[in-house]
Amino acid sequence: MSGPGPMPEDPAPDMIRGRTPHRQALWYRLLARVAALLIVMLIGVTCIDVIGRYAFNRPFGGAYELTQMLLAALVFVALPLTSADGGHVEVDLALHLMPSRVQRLLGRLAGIVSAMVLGYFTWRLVVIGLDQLHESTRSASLALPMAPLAFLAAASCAVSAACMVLRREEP
Amino acid sequence: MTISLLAFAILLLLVFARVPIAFAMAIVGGVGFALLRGWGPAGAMIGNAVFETGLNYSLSVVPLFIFMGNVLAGSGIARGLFSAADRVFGRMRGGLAMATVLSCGGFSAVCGSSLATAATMAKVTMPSMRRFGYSDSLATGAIAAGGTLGILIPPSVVLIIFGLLTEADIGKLFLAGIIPGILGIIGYLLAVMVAVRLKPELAPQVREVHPMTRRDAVSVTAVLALFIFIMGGIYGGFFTPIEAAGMGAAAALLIALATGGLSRGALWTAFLDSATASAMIFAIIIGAEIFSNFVTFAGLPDSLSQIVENLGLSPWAVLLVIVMIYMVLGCFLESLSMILLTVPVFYPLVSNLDFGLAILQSPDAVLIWFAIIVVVVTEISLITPPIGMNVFVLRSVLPDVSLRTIFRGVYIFWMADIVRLALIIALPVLSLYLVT
Repeated sequence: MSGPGPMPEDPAPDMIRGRTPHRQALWYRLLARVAALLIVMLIGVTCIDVIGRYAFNRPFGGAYELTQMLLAALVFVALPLTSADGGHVEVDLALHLMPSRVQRLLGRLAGIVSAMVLGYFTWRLVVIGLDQLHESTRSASLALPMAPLAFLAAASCAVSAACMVLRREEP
Repeated sequence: MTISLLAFAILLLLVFARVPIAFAMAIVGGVGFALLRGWGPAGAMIGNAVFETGLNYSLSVVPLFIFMGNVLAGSGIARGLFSAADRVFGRMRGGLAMATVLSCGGFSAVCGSSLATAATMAKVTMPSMRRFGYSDSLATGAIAAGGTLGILIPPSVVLIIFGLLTEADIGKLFLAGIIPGILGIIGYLLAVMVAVRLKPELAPQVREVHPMTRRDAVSVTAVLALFIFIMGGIYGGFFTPIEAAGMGAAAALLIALATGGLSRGALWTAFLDSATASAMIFAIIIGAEIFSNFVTFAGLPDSLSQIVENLGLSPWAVLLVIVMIYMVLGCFLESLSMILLTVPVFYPLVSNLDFGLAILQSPDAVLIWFAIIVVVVTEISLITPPIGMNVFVLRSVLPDVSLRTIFRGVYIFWMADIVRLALIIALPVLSLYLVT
C-alpha cells in the first residue's frame, strides 16, 4: 500500500502473487483486447438505441438482439481469462487446516473436476453448434447466423478446461 | 426432499474440497438431473443452460454495471468521497472509520457490487486509517461491512438478478433498497461509535485527516449526478433498468475523462477486471441454473410448501424460518449462488402467504419486501464466518491482515445488521414507503 495521491498503476485486487505471469502471454492479451472491445460495443449499442429513440425518434431496431450476441461473445471470450487467473469463486478456508501436500492434491483434483465440467460443456455446445449449422439457424430480427457463437462458446469452454487442468498451486 | 438434501450435502463437500462453486453446482445438478431423467435430456438441459445464459439480454447489466463501478474506482472518485466524508466525521473519535462507512455507502450508489465496493474502498481508506494508528480490526471491519451496502443501494446487480428470477419490477426493487440502505449506513455509524466508546484504543483521536480539495468536491458532485442520472432516467421512463447499465457506463466514462482522473493503465484494468468478473459471475449463474433445474425437478419447492402447510405455521413463523435458513446457508454459500439457488424455491412459498397487513395486501408488495429481506440477509452473509466473501476480498487486497483480525473487527457491524434485519422484517413500510 502506498501513501496518498493517485495510484493509477495499482494492481487489480485479485492479482495475487504468482498468478500474474500468464497475463503477459499473447493469447491472454489478445482475448483481453477483444473483451474490452466487446464492452465498448455493448455500451455503444445501448447509447445509440436510447439516444436515437429520444433525440431522433429513430430507435435502433436490432439493439436487443445485438446486445444478446455481444454479451454472449463477451462472456465466452472472458471465460478463459477468468479460468487462467484462477478467478472462479472457490473456498479455500477448510483446506488451510490440512497439510500442504493434501492441499495441493485437493487443488489438483478440484481442477480436474472443473475441467471435466467444462469439457462436458464443450461437447454440448458443439452439439448445439452443429444443429444450428445444419438448420442454418439465424437470429430473429437481424438474421445473424447463430452457429459461430455456439462454436465460440465451445472453444472458450475447451480452453478454460485446459486452464483448469494446468492451474498451478501456490505454495 | 431427501434427494435434494443429499445433493446439497455433496455440493458443500465439493465446495470445501476447493472445486469452484460454479462447477460444483453444475456437476451435482447435472449428474442429479441425469440420474432422474437420463443423460439425453440432461445433456440438452445443460447445453441450453450454458448457451442461453450467455444470450440473456437482461444479464447485460452484469458487465456494464461492473464496468461503471470499475471506471469510477479507477478515476479516484473513491478518494474524493472519503475526503468529503472525513470532513463530516473527522473530528469525532473513530471519525475515519465512520468516514469509511459513509464513503462506502456513497460509492455503492454508483457501483452494483459489494465485492467491488469493498476492494475499491479498502485501497483508499486503509492506508489513512493505518497511518493514524487505527487498529486493523476496526479498520477492516468498517470496510468489509461498509462494502456490503453495494448490493442493497441501487444500482444493484443482485437486485436485478432477483428481479429476473421472480419477474418483479426492477425499478421498484431499486427504490425499495434506498431506505434500508440508508438505515444500514446509520447502523454501521452507530456501531463504530459503540466500538470506540467501549475500546477507545481502537481509534486514536485525530483531526480531519484529508483536507477536502476542489477535486474531491467534484468527485462527490459527479457521484450524485450519476446516481440521479441513473435513477431519474429509469423513473422518468427515458430508459429501462437494463439500459441504465449501458447509459451509466457511458456517463461514468465521460465523467472520468472530463475530470481527467483516469489513466490509460487504470482504464485498461477497468476493462479487464470487468470482463473477468463477468465471466466469473456468468459461470456461477450457469452452475446455479443447472442445479436449480435439478432440485426443481426433484420436487424440492413443492415438498417444502407441503411441509410448511402441514406444520400449520403462521406466515410470520414461516418467514422467520426462511430467514434462519438463509443465515445458515449464508455461512457456507457465496452470495450470488445462494440467491440463485434459494429464491426460486422460497419465493413461490412466500408469495402465497397472507401477513394480514394492509401494506402487504398485493403479492407484488410482498415480493419486493421479501427481496429486500433476502438481500439484507445476503449482506449479512457476506461478513459472516467462515465464508464471508467481503472478508476474503479484503484479505486479497490486504494480504498482511489475518482473516481472524477482520472477523474480530466485523462482529459489531454484524450485530448492527441483525438489528436492521429485525426492523426491516417488523416494519415492511421501510422497504415499501418509496415504492407506493
